[in-house]
Amino acid sequence: MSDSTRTSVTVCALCSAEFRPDWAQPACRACPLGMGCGFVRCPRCGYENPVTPAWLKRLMQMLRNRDAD
Amino acid sequence: MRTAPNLELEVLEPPGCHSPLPREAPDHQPPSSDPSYLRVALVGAPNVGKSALFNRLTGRYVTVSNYPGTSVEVARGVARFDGHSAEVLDTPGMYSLQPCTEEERVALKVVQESECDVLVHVVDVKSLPRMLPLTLQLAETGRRLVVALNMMDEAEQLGIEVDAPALARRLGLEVVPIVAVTGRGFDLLRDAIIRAARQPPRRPALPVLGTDTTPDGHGANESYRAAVERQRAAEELLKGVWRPDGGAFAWRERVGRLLASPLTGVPVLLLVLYVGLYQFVGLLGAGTAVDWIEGAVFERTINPLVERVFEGVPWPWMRSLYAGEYGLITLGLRYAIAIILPIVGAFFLFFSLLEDSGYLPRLALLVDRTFKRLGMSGRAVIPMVLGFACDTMATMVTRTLETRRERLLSTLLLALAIPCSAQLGVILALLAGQPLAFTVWAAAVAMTFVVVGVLGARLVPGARPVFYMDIPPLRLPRPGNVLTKTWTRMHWYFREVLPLFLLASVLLWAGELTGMLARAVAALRPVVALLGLPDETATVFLFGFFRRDYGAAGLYDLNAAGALSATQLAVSAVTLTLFVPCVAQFLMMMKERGLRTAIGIFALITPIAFGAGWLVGQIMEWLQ
Repeated sequence: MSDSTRTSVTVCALCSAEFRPDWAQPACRACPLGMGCGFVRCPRCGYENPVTPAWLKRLMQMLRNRDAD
Repeated sequence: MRTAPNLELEVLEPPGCHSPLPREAPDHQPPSSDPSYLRVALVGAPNVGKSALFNRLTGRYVTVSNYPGTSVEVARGVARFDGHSAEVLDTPGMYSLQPCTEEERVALKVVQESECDVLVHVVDVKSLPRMLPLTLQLAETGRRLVVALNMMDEAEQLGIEVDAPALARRLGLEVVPIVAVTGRGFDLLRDAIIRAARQPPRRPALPVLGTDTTPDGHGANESYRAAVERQRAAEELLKGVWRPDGGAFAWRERVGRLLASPLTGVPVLLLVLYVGLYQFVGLLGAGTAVDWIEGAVFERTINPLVERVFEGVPWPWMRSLYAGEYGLITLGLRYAIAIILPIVGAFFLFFSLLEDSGYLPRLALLVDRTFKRLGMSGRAVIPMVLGFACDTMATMVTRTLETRRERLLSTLLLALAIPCSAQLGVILALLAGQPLAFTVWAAAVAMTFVVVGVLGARLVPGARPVFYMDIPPLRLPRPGNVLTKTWTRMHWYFREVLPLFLLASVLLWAGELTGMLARAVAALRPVVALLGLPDETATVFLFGFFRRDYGAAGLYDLNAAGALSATQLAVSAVTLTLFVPCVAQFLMMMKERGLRTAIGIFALITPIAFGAGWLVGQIMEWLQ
């Protein structure tokens, strides 16, 4: 039994499919350059969505919290 | 041909059919091994709040595992219904019962294999007209069905009124308005699920569908006709039941329709391209920003500094490695930072704005008909649009297209006639002051795209694709989203593209030292002479094979030095745009389509590019 953490989802900019970035295939997986480009492919349409880096997420959250205060 | 949805479903009591009433569960373990428990599956399109409903119904304790035989993860949990326990299954999003992806196939299996006693179709009530066709398809299967109208709070804020009891009567199904994130309407939903579970299953009006696309495309047409009929039936059902007000929601819907309709959508597309690509990327990014960074930063500051620093270095080869004609700093870094970076930065910002506004899916819908004539569907707009960012990425995305024929044609067209962002930006900047050259370039590239596409569609055998796409609502782009996406793409540029520019400089430097560069340029010289271009453009084409934008930057340098007339500018811009893809794209074509196909595409593109360039030269001379 595990605790589901299914709240962190990305919405595909093209087809609006909802998916977890960590479940999606990284775009660089099949790329001949393959250097970790920070994109994940939507499992439905294949569109490459940029993933917000963790530090930027934290920064935005901090800004939101400050606004809320 | 498929019939219109049968809404008067006959209720039968099949022999031996039991009504799976919920039982008391001994604990919160998902009772997947016990067939006597009530099993409820949440189905519906992506992004309608299935997971929020699932989390609310089941609480924290869930198991997430791969659906048997697939890599698709499905979550199972236990919910309490009126003192009884039930297993709840959260299925992947599906748009219809004709699956396109593995996720949809899994969702279809859940529907097909009677694994669950009750299906709860979760719909976004704001988009009910788009969601109801799937409700009708699910009803046709004969499964016990409850419709959960989710996001009622957002619908109310937008002034949308829904008469749920009337809709329930028309559908002959349980229909419950809910708000999954707050739990509003959950008691009614649980009651409705239990009532539905006590009903015997209905006799299916139609067999549960899988993919019915046949290689000749007849199944696809039939499927399309059925989808259209189902949509009409849904709209008929919703008359007087689902009422959007005349405010912001209706306005957004109207604008969305106008963007996807050919009569109004094409002028809007041209306007978007003109303002976004020509004015913003071409003039502001490739013009003003490049002029400033290249002139003030590199030409006046960095380059003189580097030359002074390396003046004292006794080895000429090392001097030229950093500060020579193909120097790491004076060429590689200058191209990457001063010429390409401002252009891709402007393009990424513009593209992120488009992405976040919800315009791209409407563009896909708009071009669907045209793309079908080119042997592709609107789905192919995804790699085509991505190609304007990077053709290598876009070539990889062609694998998501439905048919082999579509994948091949889109790979060919990407390699031939879709310039990447930086190449496009530089070419637009070069042609900005030359309206005739610009018009001829745009017409030549567009005509090549259409002619090769139409011929390809006729000559390449294979199945015709079907195109389904959910259209999300239009929205005002959020600055946070736009900046995040732009930043991520810029990060990608620094991480992947900048090193390649430096590597290309080193290779060119080595080529110059060994004399190989001179030999390669000499081999290309007769061809460029035939096009009426100066010898130096041979080097530009070689640059272009390393990276498209590298070649474009070379052209920029050549033009800045006053080496090109208007005709030569148009000819070289057309030839370079259509010329062979860069090394990375070629490798990707090999990986995705195989070596033979990649070489075939290469062999086809080269004469087309030079042939089109020669023709443009003749036309320009005739026009002037």
